[in-house]
Amino acid sequence: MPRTVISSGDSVAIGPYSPGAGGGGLFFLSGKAALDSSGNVIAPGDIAAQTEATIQAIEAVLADAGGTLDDVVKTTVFLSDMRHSKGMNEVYARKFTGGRPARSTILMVPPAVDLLVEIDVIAMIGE
Amino acid sequence: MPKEVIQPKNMPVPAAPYSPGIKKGGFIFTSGQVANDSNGNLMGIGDVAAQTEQCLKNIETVLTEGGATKDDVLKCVVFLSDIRYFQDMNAEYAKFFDGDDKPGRSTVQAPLARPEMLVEIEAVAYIGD
Repeated sequence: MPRTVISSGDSVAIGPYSPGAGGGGLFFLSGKAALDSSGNVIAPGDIAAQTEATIQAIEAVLADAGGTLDDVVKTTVFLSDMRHSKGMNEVYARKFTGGRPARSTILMVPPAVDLLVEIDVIAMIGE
Repeated sequence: MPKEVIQPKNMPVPAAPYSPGIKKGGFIFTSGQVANDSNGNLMGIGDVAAQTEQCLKNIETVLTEGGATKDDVLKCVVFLSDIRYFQDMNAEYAKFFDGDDKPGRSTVQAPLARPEMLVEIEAVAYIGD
């Protein structure tokens, strides 16, 4: 079975990658962050708003693959500072409800100064 | 097929919004495991070998609860708080994954949730439908 590349009209890519690709029911999404269509950081310094925007961007890519947040099995959360974990978790817990995905959370050196969070996900859709 | 939460009885329910493991479509995804014991206390302070051993024990606990073994692991990601721990982590890791056909792996240096945490490991396993 060949892979499927998710082409997402409004997904922001700031490098040579696709919003996501799948095969055998598994979809690997590229890391999403709170970036607008020009690649500018949304809500600089606001972890709650950035987490919300990041998860909305993930939802949009999942929708293009025919899925929802319920199909997510694993996430990796990259934070610019562990002090943001509480603010991130509050929004994250509201968006991912019931059967929460497995997760790893690590610190990153952010690609932009005001970017506080990036999330990448693996989903299993249609299995 | 719905996803199934893997929450071993002898592992604390995570304080943050994630599950220790998720099983779906024959795959098991574990959350990143640190060197916590069954009471949630960090083991092996300052000892990366001891922490690696405990991380892998925790992964095995999740795999077992999901009906898998370490032989079913496809891929691990190892997060080290300092890449200088690489050799000590590897020596312990090789005792756990002691077969010839070891899982794929990436290792990155990343500060972890608490400074006493030296290593965190996550795994993906496949046991079929």
